[in-house]
Amino acid sequence: MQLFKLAYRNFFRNTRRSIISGISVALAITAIIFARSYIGGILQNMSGNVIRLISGHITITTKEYERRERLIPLSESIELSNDFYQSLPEEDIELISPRIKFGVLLGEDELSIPALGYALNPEKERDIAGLQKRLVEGTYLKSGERSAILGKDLAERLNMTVGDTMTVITRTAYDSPTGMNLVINGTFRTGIGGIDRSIFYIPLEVGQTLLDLEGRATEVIILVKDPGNAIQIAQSIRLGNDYSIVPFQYNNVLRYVNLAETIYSIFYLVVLLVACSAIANTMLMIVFERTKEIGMMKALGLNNLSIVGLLTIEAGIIGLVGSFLGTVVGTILSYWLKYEGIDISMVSSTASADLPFGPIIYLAPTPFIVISAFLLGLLITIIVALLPISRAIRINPAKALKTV
Amino acid sequence: MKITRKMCIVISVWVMLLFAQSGREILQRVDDNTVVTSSSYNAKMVISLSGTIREKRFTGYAEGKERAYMEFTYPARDKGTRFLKIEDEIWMYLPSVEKATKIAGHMLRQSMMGSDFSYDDIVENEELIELYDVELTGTDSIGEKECYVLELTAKVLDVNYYARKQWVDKDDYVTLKAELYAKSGKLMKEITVSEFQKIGRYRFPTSIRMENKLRQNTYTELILENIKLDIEIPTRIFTRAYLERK
Repeated sequence: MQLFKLAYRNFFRNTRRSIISGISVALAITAIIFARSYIGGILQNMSGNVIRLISGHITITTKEYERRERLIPLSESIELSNDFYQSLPEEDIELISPRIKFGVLLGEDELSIPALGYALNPEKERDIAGLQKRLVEGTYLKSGERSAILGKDLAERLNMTVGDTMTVITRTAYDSPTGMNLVINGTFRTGIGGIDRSIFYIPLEVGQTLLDLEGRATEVIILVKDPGNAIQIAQSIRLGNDYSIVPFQYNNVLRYVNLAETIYSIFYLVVLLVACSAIANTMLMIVFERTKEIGMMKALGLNNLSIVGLLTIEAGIIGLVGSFLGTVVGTILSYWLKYEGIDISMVSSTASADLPFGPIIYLAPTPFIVISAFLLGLLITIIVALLPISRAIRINPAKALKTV
Repeated sequence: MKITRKMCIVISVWVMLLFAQSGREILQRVDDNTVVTSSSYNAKMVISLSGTIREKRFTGYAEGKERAYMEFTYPARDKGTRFLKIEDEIWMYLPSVEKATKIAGHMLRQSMMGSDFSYDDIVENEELIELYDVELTGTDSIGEKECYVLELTAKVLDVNYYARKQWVDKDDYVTLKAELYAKSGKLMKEITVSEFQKIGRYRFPTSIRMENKLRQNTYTELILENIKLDIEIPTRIFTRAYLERK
């Protein structure tokens, strides 16, 4: 208890220095809470977009389609037969939506603008992809109608607007050239550059006719009632060896993003270590300044353990105050931005359709992030301070007392 | 001794020159047999992809190396699909769209109508001797036919295939087999010609099998019928208006 009192008093002996050390820790902790919440927000944002726009909770394709996915091989399609639907566990599934993705070149006279078309069921996808909510002009798709909705930027690149007729030229599943005139029903904006710039949607039956894929689709998107069980549900689907059934947790994009999160954790630790070097510096100065005092304490019978304890408590107080301040500021900032969001439309407008994020990132702080940052701050402060403190043990009382 | 060595060198050089000249001569005779001033024909394309056979039919007209026209007549799905080549441009007309669209440069090397032929392969009617340096590398036989083996390397930049290896029939000076290579040395396509028809001064290939080596389990047979060569073709056929006619 005596040591605590002494350490507390020492904290105020050089208040400015203690405050500066504390602030550096506080800044690091604030930065860590903010960064982790921000990355968590991007992850949530991207997961949401990947699930809604790309994969659903479970994606079914043929194995060959999955292998050559970048080439969009329409010949590797799924027959939407009764047998197919019956092999899906109805009780766990909220929605099944077949899609056909196809590459096209658009343009008035010369085909020069590459774009990606999605043929899908307008009614089912109204909620999955949230397309209707994202319309900026015009109306939504209607089943069976030879119409399309385009990313706003794609429409601008084509110099077209709602009501115009867009000519789509592509290849059928059998590689023959095929084309169709589609009326532009509406334009949408997701804020994700790659999607707004190059994607358009058409009704499924229209796509099937265009691509010679009647009764077929290249991928089937499933939304399950309990997303947490997507892996188990995917494993329970029995379709045979020719099919690939991938729950969103195994989606390549999300796996890479999760990997990035691990890499960021190392980055946080480095930030904290750099910030704590201020503490190490402070402690080193304290040991040098108080060489005579430490020598005196030793001469009066204070053992090494007590001296280390005293200095550690002193460092701990700085760490505690700094971590606490940092945690308070970081928490307030992160929870405020959880509701306000950060507008990254400048960045997201350049995001690719494969890595869909933005345009507003809502931070995702959690109690775990807050508490772990606080404890980490305290722990690292003490660990970093121990090295200079250990010098105090080596002080010879007789020599120390002779110092000026 | 010295004289013998010199003689050997002179003879070798003379033989090499003779062969180099022969290579050019052979290729010139091949060109003479196949490069026509104009043509019209009916074609049947049998496309085999992973065991599935599909048939397509079209009518074609060509004039020189710069003008060609094709119109698909079968199956129903492709009926009315037309292509027009004018100089370096190819235009495509799809009846479902009712307007012509220019096919961009890189697409010309893509599969035409799902076959192993590219758009460029089908409309090609240029003298190889103008495009390639040629070397006679030996002889070989295909079936019972004795062949010269020619190796061609592009001497101009704008060629579909950087190198070719051609097996030319010693008697008729027609290419029985050709391997088409990319600049990297990768074999891209293999052509075998099984039938020819003697029309005037030409020996025109009428049954051609193309294998795109970049795809798996695939080949296309092109069978030409009703071939008419060096004929007068109405100029209106090679116009956008004719391509886009209703």
